[in-house]
Amino acid sequence: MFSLPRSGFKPWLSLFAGLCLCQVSAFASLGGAAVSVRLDQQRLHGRLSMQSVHGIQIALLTTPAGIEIKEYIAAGRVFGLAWRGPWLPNLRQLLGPYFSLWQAQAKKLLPRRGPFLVETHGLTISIAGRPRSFTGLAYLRSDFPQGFQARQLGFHSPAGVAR
Amino acid sequence: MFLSRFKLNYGPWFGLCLLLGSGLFSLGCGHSGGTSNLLPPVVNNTLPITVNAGPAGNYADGAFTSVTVCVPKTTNCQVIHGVLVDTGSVGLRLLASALTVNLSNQTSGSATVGECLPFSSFYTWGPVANADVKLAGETASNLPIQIINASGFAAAPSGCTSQGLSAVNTVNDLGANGILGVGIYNHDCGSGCTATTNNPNLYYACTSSSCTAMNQPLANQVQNPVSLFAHDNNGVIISLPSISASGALTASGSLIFGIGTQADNGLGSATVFATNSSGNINVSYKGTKYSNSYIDSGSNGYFFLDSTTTGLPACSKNTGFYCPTNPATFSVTLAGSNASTGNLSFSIDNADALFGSSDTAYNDLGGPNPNSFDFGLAFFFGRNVYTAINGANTPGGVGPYWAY
Repeated sequence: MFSLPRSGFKPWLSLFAGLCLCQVSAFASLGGAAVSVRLDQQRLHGRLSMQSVHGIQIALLTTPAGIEIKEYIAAGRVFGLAWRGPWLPNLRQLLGPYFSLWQAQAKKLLPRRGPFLVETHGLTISIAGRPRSFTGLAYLRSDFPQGFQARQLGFHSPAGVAR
Repeated sequence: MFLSRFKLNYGPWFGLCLLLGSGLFSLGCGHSGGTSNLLPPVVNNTLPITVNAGPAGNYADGAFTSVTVCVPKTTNCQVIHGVLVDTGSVGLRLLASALTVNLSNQTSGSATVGECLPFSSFYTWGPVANADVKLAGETASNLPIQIINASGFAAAPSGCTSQGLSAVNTVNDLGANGILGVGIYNHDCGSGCTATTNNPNLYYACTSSSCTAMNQPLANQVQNPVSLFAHDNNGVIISLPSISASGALTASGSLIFGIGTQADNGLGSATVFATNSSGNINVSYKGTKYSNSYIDSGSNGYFFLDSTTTGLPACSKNTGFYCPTNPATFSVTLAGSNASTGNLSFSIDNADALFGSSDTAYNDLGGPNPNSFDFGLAFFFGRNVYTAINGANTPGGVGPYWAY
């Protein structure tokens, strides 16, 4: 997945870099450490801004194709994602280790036309919309801070937190 | 059938003049001798649609129709049945397995143009080809369409599979032989796909084994056939009859082309809900406004909120739908970006119970869709629902909008 620059190649450095990236990548995004938001920004070539609402950190990432992604962080971990935009984001990147769980569920959606909400092994994911306008959520309910509810995720109210 | 009926430009008019005495028809006929006050020619703008189980026999609340596809500028044509009518997307997409006429794929240099289009629950992958597409008496000439799962075509690239959705490849996957997208846009992607930067990468230049993302000019993008009609090209109406709350075996209605362009497609007393820059409207429920809401004939039911917010339990058999013990009624307010509002009341019944019969048409089918309302086909029964295309002039203003 990673290719290191060929110039100035130093075996010891590549081993070191490889270990570091692997460690970050293993915890990328959903369920991962807060720092994984930076990796998402890098991979998705996004603009990143941070905000804090009622003790929850929200990283807002905007991709070049105009997809807005919110990553919800509490206790140093990403516990939820919300997105909206003309197209779908790179969920392989954003779901990290949960991507294969999602792929397995996606196969079971056919034949179907319309939004859905599925829960599997602690992962909840929903996608709605149609070409040129999509929204979606992915979250780990067991990682919600106390009192947090799924309906607080998303773009339907200011800062994504409805009270 | 369509070809022979509308081959002559003036013959059918003359017949209509003799048969019909309406003001519009007689006025048009009276001036057909070449005065400056020309009315548009009267063409058959009504395509029959049927709500049934679809060609795979596995669909609920889907409206199907037949399309005629021809090799451009020839009479080498084929009628394809069981195509889903979708106001949520744009463009005609046909399963290769349903296609017998030999259409030429678009090329870019020595490469073949392919497209990956995501929907909410699957994606379509395959080459782009051009065809003359005939719908009722209307023709979209040299229309770029997508061929799904074309044999020998390159595999979907990683940019297409990174969303995790599954490809639809067969009539069982799709529940239809294709999708007829007649939504609010002219092009399936728009200017984003013409750009060298910030391109969402839906279009690809493909060899037989690999594909590279490419820019696709608007004229070559898969697009709304209605936009390319000579007449009745500003939008569509879907008209379906009222059905019982217990469901109906099937339902028959019409896909009518044009809004206010002929005697049969006036806006009447319908309320116009202009869409926002994302192509959505606001729906308010119990004091919360859900701004990413939409009307979409290609969705089955009313998809809205979640079990916690609605009090509707999920089904045990049919996952993705609501299964209340007794029918539940909801009252919401729709608001367009043109400041018009309208109250709407609808009911949701138990999907496991509904699906237990042989019915295929339901006006009370619902399922979850957190933080949004999607008014799918269940909403369309007993209504004329108007979909106006972006930038098109209509008696209800310039599109895009929905009206009902």
